Amino acid sequence: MEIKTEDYRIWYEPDISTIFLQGFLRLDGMEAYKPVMDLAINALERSPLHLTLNLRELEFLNSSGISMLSMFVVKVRQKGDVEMTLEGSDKILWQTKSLKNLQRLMPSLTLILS
Amino acid sequence: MAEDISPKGVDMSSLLAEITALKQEIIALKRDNEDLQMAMSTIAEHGDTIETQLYETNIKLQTEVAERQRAQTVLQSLLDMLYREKGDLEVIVETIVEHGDILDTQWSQQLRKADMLAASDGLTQISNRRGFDAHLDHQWALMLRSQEPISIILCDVDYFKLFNDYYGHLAGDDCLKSIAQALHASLARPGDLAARYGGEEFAAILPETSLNGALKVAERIQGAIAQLQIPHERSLIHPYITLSIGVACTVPSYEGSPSSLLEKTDQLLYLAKAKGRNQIRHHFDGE
Repeated sequence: MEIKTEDYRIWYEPDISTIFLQGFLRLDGMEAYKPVMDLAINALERSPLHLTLNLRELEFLNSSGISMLSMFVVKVRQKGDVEMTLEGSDKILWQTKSLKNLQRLMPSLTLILS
Repeated sequence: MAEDISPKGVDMSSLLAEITALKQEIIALKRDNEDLQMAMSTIAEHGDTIETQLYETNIKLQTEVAERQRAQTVLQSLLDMLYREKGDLEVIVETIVEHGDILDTQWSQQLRKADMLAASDGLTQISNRRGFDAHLDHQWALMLRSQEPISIILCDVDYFKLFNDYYGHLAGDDCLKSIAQALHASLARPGDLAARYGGEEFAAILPETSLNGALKVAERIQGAIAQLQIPHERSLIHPYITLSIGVACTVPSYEGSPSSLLEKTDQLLYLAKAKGRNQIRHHFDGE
């Protein structure tokens, strides 16, 4: 499971139940994010207990992207039986603000900014 | 005629009349009784019907109540779900809005960084010509308004081509970096700006600075370069690197322009070079 272009790369590593998002993610509208959402949901189904989202090298995510991420967090919360960790970077400005908001959607979400 | 009298002397005719009356009364009572029985059975039947109806109505009502309770439970859970979804959507909208704002900030910071990079010299890390021009225009406008003097210093590294030919380009680059640092360190005020103006030409903008003040800065620069003691075997005038310096000052007017002040400074620099290098030439353009 991997989506790769010049600007970004998204993939899932089943051994560590981790989805990686890297680069500049600026897709045009929610519809364009469907493959990314599908990859994430697929990974969620394959991660029975715990899922990690590694965003440490995601330099940029546009508004459609953050709304896709928000909806994914809601889906994980609704599923109810999977714990999730968000790993981000405190050197990337948008992550310091927006990732905390995602925690409001799923209070049990673990957020690690480093 | 003998009277119809009973042996005991009872009046038979009145007795018969009484019996007849009693019989009629019995018949009437029987009729009444039948009527009453009819009424009773009617009432009983009516009661049964009503009871059955009440029972059926009761069952129907109980079913309806149960159905309503079920519907209410369904509606309540639907309402709860909608309420949760509404809450989620509010957080998502807020997240998106704040995300948009933070992206704006992130972009503008990168833009500022890119702007600064575009205005700075890659080798020496001080302003380049673009940064110099922009700062000069800005400060000129400010000094025009406040009618305070503005000074420009232009410096040229003496015999730099010979230095490069003799020591090589890498040493030449190091030399330029050292001069840039010394120039930068010689400026003290927030509005001052040091720039690499061209190849081996450096410049400084000194707003709110008179010619005397600018001369002091130029001497400070000259002193700082002398202290560097960068050997220059091929220099025709000195064993170490030296600078030729032009300093011009003016109080901005609508007739003048930044480029005319710059041109004047350039002429003074040329003069310093023509008159033997390693010296400062200056001019105050004004009354």
